[in-house]
Amino acid sequence: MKKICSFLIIEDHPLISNSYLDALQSVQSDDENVNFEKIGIAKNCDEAIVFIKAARKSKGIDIIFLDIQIPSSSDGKILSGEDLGVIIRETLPKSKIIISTMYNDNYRIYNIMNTVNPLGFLVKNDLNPPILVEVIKNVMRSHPYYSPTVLLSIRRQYPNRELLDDVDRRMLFELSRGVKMKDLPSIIPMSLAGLEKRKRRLKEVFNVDQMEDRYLILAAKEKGFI
Amino acid sequence: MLKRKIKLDLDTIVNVINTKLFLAIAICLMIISCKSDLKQGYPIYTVQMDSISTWINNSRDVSLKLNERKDFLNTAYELGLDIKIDSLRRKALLKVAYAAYKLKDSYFFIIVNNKALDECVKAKDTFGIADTHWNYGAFYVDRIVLDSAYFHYHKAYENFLSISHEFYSSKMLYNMAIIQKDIKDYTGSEIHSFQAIQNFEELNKPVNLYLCYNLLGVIFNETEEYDKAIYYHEKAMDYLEDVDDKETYMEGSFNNLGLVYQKLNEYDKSNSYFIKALKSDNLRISNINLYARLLDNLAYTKLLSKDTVDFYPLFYKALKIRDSIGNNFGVSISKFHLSKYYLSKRDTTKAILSALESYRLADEVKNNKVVLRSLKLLAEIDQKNSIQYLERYIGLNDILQNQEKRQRNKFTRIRFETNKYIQETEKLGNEKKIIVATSFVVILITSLLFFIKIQRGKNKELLFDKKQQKANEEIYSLMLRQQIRLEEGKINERNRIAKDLHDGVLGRIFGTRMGLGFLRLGGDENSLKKYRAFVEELQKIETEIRDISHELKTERFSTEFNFVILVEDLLQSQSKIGQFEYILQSDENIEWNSINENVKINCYRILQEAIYNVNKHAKASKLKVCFKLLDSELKLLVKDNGLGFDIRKKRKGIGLKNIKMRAENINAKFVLKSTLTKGTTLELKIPV
Repeated sequence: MKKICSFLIIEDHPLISNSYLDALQSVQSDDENVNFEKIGIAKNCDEAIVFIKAARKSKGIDIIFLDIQIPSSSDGKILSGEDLGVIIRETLPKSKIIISTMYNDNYRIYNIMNTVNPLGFLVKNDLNPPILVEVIKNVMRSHPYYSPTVLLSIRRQYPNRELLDDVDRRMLFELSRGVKMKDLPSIIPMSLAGLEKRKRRLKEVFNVDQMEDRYLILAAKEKGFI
Repeated sequence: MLKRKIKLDLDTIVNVINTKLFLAIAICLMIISCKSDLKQGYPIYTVQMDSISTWINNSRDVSLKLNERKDFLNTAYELGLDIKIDSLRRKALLKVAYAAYKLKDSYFFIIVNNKALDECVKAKDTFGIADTHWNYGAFYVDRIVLDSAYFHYHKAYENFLSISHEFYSSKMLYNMAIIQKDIKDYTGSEIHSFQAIQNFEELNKPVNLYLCYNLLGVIFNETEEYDKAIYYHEKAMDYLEDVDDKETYMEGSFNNLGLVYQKLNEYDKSNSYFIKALKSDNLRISNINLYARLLDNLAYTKLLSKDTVDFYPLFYKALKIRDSIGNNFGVSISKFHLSKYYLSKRDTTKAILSALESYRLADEVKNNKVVLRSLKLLAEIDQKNSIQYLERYIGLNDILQNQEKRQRNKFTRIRFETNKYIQETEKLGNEKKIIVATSFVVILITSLLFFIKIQRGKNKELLFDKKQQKANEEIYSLMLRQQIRLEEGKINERNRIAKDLHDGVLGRIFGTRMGLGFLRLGGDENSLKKYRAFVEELQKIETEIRDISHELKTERFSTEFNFVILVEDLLQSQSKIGQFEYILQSDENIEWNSINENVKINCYRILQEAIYNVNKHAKASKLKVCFKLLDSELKLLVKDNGLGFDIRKKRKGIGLKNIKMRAENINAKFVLKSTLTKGTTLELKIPV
């Protein structure tokens, strides 16, 4: 009996979604027992939510391809694929999520790992057709697959994972983007004094005390936090 | 002429002292420098003065002939003219003039005195001028030209007064009083006498006081106020008690008092005074004139008192004495009295004869008083010519009265002019005071205003400085803002490009690559190999694009604004103008954001000024600007390889001053080193 495997592609780029389809076709042709059932292709968060809600009421979705950079929802509540991933985790806990993203920075990778914890985690640059096929095959067997960039990032962060909490990471990330300290409280819900205190501690942790912020950022980058 | 005598004495004393002094100096000098040239220095003049004094003394020798004495004086005069030193020459001339006056050589006197006056006026020697006028006064009194005499005494008086010589000016007052008495201006005479008395009292001059009071006695005798006359004569004699050298003053006073009592018809008293005076020893020798007068007066009083004793010998004796010494003035009086005597003896012929002689002599010596009296007497006794004499008497009396009146007016005018002069001087003095006071006030006000203006200017300057500082800060913050905006624009643009590359281009290349990858292409092995290589190449392009995108984003942080960028901009623009290469070094651990704005502004301005100087003067091809942080001190170094200059020689220009001022503003140490042809180094150490 043929195993029916449903899938949803959340991807705003038609070329890429076509690649997914090609990859699925390739898997199906390799294994005759597998029969893929297309739930749909969502080009933005709004469309994705519609498919997810519908799937919750029916039999659910086996595999969800999730792009991080997709147009946010019209009500502004769901900003990216990351938020969408969290929702999917809650509404469709059984779904196997394959995240593919253009981003390759440590902070995002760490965050996505923390919040969405996908079964497949791909940085698009690492990807090529054979790997994509391999990923699908692994995921179908409930084997996780992380592309090399993701693996490297996780590995680098691992020894220091206890040193920094989410706020620290967020602050470093924002600073690295060029956000000024005085503007931080409007992004991270904390007082400026509290943030300054955290920054001083971070500088001590990274051995750059009494030096400019720039050095802190450089050190954090080196240690794989951003 | 008694006061003349005193002056003479004083002069001789001075002469003696001078002579001795000069001699002493001369001897000293001769001892000190036997070889010294006598043409040089004082000795030659002391010798000259000495010889002049000798010639003058010779001219005074009564035993010599008049011509010889005149010759001596002339020699003295010529010697005096040769003196080169002005003050000494004037002194010599005055001496000669006085000697000439004494000698009664009127022509010579006028020449010398005129010369002396000229020199004194030229030299503005007021004392000398007064002295020459005094000489003139005495000279004209002798000639009985009373108005001229009065005029000169008055001039002398004015000049002595202007140099505050109280004693001599009072003497002049006395001299004027005498002349006034002579022309019967008794009131004027009295006033001048009292003025003189006041001064003499202050100066404590008993002899002069005696003379003044004596004069007053004579005046009041003339005005028939006999009580006063007696009072003043007695007072005069009181002063005489303090005088050692009384001369014949006492006898003169007795004579005067006798005359007063004679007028009062108290003949006994009158007689007793005359006799008292005549009893004095040596009077006959010391003052023969007075002696004769006393004899004459005594005889006349006896005549008036109708004394029975024959006193003709007294008259005769007086007449003989007077005649023998050529005192025609006295003779005329004696003759008049004799005429009266003959009349009393009813010898009309002799009486007329005597009266006529008296008249002739009195007319000769210009003793108008006796002339009138003798004319009157003649009119009474010479019956035949009575009318003729009476007419002449009346005519002469009128003339004399008019003359006296005119002279009095003249004197008043002279006095008035002086008063006017004094008033004007006072007025001028007052005006001067007012001018001085006003100008002082004006100067005070002006300087005050000036001071206020300066203060205001300073305040304005301070205010201006403050404003300028504020403006500077504003400009700086504007520059900052502009810079930030520029940077923001840059960052935004970079972000946009990064985002476009990352999300758009990268996604599409990725999609394309994946699409290509899933294509099932036919063809030979070689083509498929190439196709795979292209796909891989695409993947590499993706990586590259993503790196670029990342770099664009991470650049953000380093391009975050700081002061160094401003400096870099400045250097960039200026290096294009000056065509020099520049190196900008900045310590990475300088926290620009935590450094005071004011420090940064002033640093920037100093740099601006320094770079401007480099462009304008140094003509450098290389410029190094360096910021370093050393122990909480920010060090700014500006070094060029230009022409340089000599710091000591070069006056500080506005640029350097500005730099120094700005350095002081931020408490910075400022060191400037420059070597000619090797360049200039400016070093600034700023505490932060």
